[in-house]
Amino acid sequence: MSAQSSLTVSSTHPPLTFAGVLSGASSAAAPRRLPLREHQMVHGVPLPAKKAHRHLDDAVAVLQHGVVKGRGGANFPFAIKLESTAGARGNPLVVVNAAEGEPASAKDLGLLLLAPHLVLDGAITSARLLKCKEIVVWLHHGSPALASLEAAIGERRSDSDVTIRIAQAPDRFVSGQVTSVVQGLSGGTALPYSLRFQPSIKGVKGRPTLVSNAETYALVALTLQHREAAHGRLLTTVMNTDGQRHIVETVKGTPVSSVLSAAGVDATGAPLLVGGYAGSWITSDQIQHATADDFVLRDPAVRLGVALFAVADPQWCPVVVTAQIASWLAGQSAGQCGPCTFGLPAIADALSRLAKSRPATTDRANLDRWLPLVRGRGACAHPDGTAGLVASLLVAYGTHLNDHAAGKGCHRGAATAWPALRSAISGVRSR
Amino acid sequence: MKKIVVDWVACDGHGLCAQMAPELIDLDDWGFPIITHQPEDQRSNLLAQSAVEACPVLALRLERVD
Ligand code: SF4
Ligand code: SF4
Repeated sequence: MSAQSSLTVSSTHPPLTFAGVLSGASSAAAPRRLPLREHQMVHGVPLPAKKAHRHLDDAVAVLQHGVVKGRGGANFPFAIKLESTAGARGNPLVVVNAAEGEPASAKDLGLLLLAPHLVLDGAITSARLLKCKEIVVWLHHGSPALASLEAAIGERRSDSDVTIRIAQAPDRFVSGQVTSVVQGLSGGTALPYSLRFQPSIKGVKGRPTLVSNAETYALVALTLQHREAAHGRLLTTVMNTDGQRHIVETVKGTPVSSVLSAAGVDATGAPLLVGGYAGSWITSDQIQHATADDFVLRDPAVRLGVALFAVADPQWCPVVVTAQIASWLAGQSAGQCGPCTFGLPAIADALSRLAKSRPATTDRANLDRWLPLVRGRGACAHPDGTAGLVASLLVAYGTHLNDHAAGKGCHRGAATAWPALRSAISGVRSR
Repeated sequence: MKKIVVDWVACDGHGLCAQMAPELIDLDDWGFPIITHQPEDQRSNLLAQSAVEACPVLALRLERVD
């Protein structure tokens, strides 16, 4: 697992998010965090504090036109959240959710290591539009981005109208769920709960709370600053079979094959996992039709999610890999909701027996029954994501799964890698 | 009209709701409620109400749908 220690960064288009970081052909040197002065030369300064809230309607219009949607995976329009928070009663709070739950995704980490000021620009602008004085960045405990973020916040002395602090989240898959963030910052345990009010109305300690993912705030800053040029900007994570992660800046609609080549990863003959561990499999034949867009294929079941493209080894058995991921996801259930607590392990166990070609007679049929059964029956989307992953296996590799169910054995090796890596990423290097 | 909503964090699978309103609520393999039908008339509304009241941990509620 030694190869996982650093990220690489590249772009399919002239970089914007990473403008100044990826300075063209010149740099063989490792990409580094863009200091404030250089950041301002590329991206200007955010809306000044004075009377900023008067620009709310304009900003909402620009963000709506730019179709800025949440990049944490839920794809919710940011402008609606912003307006809703502005219209709610109470002392507002802006929260940057940088607790990436997906173990393979590293785009938010890359962003915070290299361009933290973009994230801060978006958060500061949002705060000013809301007449809000406080920003909290929610970061996984032990995140390698901590030092970079602290350094960036330290450089923001001139933006003293808002205080920015970092709060550390437990290193768990569900920590990044929006209700976990709200509950954790309200002084409770950082676990999801059943949402009765949107956080924008009643969030942290009852305050109107604007919670969005780190990349979303960067996109807000880019859109307000660069307008059209920022439309569709997207950060993706490409992971190869060794678990090495590559961040690729791209634009929505770009062929996935271009994203993979920008990362320097060969996907010939390989199954591709799209959107995250709680994402979808597509077959190697489908890769040529896939685009980095909300719907990756024509099929709305294959979603961009956290924009992970994980290239599996063609020698791996997709049933075995999926069983390993599903078992890990099942173990990440926060154990609060019955269908998730019991249903996900049941699904994972059935799939694991199928993976070993030693299924119980009901395993294959139970999968068909249980997958739709757990969906939508939890306080968070965790069961939906896990069921979606297994359902995509049935679609992409159903025939092979049925061979396992028939006990036919599998000529592919059982040995794989890449479940549950949240490895220590120490830094960024050039590709 | 109203619909039955389950608070999944609160629900601990007592199954009393399904006993009270079997026409509306079924149980899954693990004993947790599946809302098979939402109330559509006076009678099923009362049935739903009784299920809500039967739940020992207040995990069910009726929410207005417009
Ligand atoms: S659905 Fe699962 S992960 Fe989400 S809150 Fe419930 S038990 Fe936890
Ligand atoms: S009675 Fe309440 S706790 Fe029991 S299964 Fe129904 S909703 Fe859940």
